[in-house]
Amino acid sequence: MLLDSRRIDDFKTERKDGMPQLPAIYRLVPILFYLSLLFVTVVGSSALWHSRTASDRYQAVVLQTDQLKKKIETSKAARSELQKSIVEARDLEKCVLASMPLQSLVVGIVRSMEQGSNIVDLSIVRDPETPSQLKLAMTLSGENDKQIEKTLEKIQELNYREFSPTQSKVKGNLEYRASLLWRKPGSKTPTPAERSAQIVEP
Amino acid sequence: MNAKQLAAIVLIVGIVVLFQLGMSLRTRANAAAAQADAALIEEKKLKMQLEGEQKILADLKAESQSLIDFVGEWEPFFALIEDEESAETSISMKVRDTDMLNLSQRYEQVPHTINNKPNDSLPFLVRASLVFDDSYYKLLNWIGMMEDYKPTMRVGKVSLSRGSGADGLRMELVLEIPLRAKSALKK
Repeated sequence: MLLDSRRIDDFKTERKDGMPQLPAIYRLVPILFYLSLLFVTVVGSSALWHSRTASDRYQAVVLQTDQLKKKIETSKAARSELQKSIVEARDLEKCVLASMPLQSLVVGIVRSMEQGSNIVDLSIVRDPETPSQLKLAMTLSGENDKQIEKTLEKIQELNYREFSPTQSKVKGNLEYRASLLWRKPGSKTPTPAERSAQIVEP
Repeated sequence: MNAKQLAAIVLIVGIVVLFQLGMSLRTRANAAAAQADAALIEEKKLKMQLEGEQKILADLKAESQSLIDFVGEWEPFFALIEDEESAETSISMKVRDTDMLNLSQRYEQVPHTINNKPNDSLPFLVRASLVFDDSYYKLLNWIGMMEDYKPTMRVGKVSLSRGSGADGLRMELVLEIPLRAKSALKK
């Protein structure tokens, strides 16, 4: 009986339909594949752990920076408020320093009059734009030539400095005009009680 | 291309993909670490800024303490703009209460300027123009009493001349009460 030659399965001869072997270098491919799996496992897990830690750290820092920003804003707002108060306090201080009582000055001028001297009229006007500056105008009658010096001494005792003085004789009376500038004694701003203490008995 | 070659190519692609995945995870971790480091640097800067702000505030407080104390002492004596009527009334009541001869009294509200600049904290003045005719002692006592009664009130003008009586004096007096803007002062 004749058999078909293609049906014969002969293990001794090489099979013709088998695929040819890959070059030897290709044996590295599966090794590299397993190595890359190992790489992903080690590096990936380490990276994920670092990433999570860094993320936690970032969140904590962001919370902290938010609090710091709020504190800075609060501090800035407090500074702005304080600066406003300082500006207003300076305005009030200017006003207080420029509004020294005049009663003691009038009384001082009147008391400086010596026997035989009289005040015909006396006017003290505060400069509206420079309230610490006063315009003094007075007319004195009498024979005492030294009277005006006495009066000016008294004015200086009361911490006023006169400048731009003019004096003239009109109908036998001495007309004296000057600007007075108050000098704050010491560096301390007066309290309301100290201010009141400047009022004198006429 | 046979099946072995195809399988090798698939494995090579797999290797590349896995390598890329590993590298991208590492890059992401580095980026997160860099972000956290940058945040730390910003936090340090903010801490320094806060310290600076707090120091400036403390210095400003220390520098202005005497001024603030001063305002605290004088604040109750400054009338508010809303108190304009009461400022006028307080003067007119004092004028009425005195037994001096009052010839005239006039009240007006004027803008408060110093060196031609408006005073924002004390924007207005109540100005009372008064004319009296009485004795020297009564007149000077009254001025003293008014300056004591309201220390922030200032005498804008005092003018003395011979009055109608034997020892009478005619006194023209201008009193000015500054009115404070309510907004800025600390309560």
